[in-house]
Amino acid sequence: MSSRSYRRAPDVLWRNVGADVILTRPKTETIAELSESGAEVWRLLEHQSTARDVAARFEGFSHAAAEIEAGVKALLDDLVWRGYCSRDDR
Amino acid sequence: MDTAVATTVDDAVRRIASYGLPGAPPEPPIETVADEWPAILGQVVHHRLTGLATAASDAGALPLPADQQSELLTHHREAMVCALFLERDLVDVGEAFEVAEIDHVVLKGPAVARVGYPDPSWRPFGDVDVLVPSDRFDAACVVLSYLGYRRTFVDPRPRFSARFGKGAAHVGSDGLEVDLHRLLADGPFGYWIDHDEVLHSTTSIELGGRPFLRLDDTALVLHACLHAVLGGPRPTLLQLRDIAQLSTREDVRWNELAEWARRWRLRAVLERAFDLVERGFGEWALPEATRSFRRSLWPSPRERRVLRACAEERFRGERDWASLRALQGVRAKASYAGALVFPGREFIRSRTGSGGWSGYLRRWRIPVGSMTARSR
Repeated sequence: MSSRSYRRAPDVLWRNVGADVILTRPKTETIAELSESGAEVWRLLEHQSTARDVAARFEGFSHAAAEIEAGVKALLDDLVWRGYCSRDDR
Repeated sequence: MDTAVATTVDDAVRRIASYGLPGAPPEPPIETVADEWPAILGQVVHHRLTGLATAASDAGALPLPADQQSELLTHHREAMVCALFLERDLVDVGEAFEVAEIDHVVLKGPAVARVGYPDPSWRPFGDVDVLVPSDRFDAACVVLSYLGYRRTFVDPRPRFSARFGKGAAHVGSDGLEVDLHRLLADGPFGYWIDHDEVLHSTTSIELGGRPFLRLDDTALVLHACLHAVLGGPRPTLLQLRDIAQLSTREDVRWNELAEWARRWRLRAVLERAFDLVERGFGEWALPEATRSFRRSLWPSPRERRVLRACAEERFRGERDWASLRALQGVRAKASYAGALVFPGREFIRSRTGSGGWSGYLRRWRIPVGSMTARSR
């Protein structure tokens, strides 16, 4: 599962709002909002990364590594579904 | 509000506006007291400083209690949503201009936010500005109209903006504004600038997955100065911050800017712009290269006179007189004067609320008043 890598979609428009991030894309009417840890995941996607790479940056949190990775992957897949990210199979 | 509080509010807002500028002297955190907060927040919003205030707050340079931080973030979120929707609209405009083969350059907001600041969220904007070649201005207006935009101001005579104006503001169906420019400034300074040269002083920027042209760093500084000095009665602190921020960029060609300032008679404008920055933030706000450039400017008496006409005396009709003198050719001067003295009824109605003679009489008060003042 962690061999898939993610990156921000090239057309995504986004801004930091304090700890949060807001995003939109051309031709859409909606703004998505990522709060705190979701926003941190987004910021870590500056370079193409796997869910495991991103999850590793959250080490030290109270959850188990596998749990964090699963949460990160679910978020990234949701962002792919919404068109804010793209996913490549390595 | 008493003077002491006003001074404290002004000082807090000024320090927020200069937060994070390279070369800033070490200062203690910006203190705010609860009574002053509404006034500070009001000024922060007015000067479009929510991004800088949020960055300062996040870094501990502007310690705020939770309720004030929440208020600030609410305003900043609104500003950022606006910026994102404007950039989204800009992508549509860029695509449509490309299809119509209209060269275009993104000015100000999106370009300055993305290349000038450490984080684009530091720099909100309330519209997008696009420069097109003068001979493609009408075509660009048609494209915007096709996209659902409508002009916000009526021309005094048909094609007045396309011949004599800086440009025209267009509002989309979502209420967001695209300012279409054919010149970087209104009036004589706009006529003196060689816009073919400006249109070639560009570089690329990616926005929404497509490439756009923006002004290069030298032209960005030039435009920031023009906008701060000639864009309205008083510059916002964000406009001054833009000048200071862009002046720190390494790719500014100060020798070329000096040459432009001399050839395009912009020395008085640039001198005033940098003076405003120093007065607003302190001498430290400008890098040595900029201060040295500023000292090398020796505006002519005529440049200073035209600057007064286009700034402090612009609403007395002086800018129109200066524009008339700066225009090349008798026919152009006659068309310009004719349009201002005998504008169409729709223009008169939009400006005075009356399309009849009373509207014209009110309109003529400005040039008559100006002529009377001159003859004294």
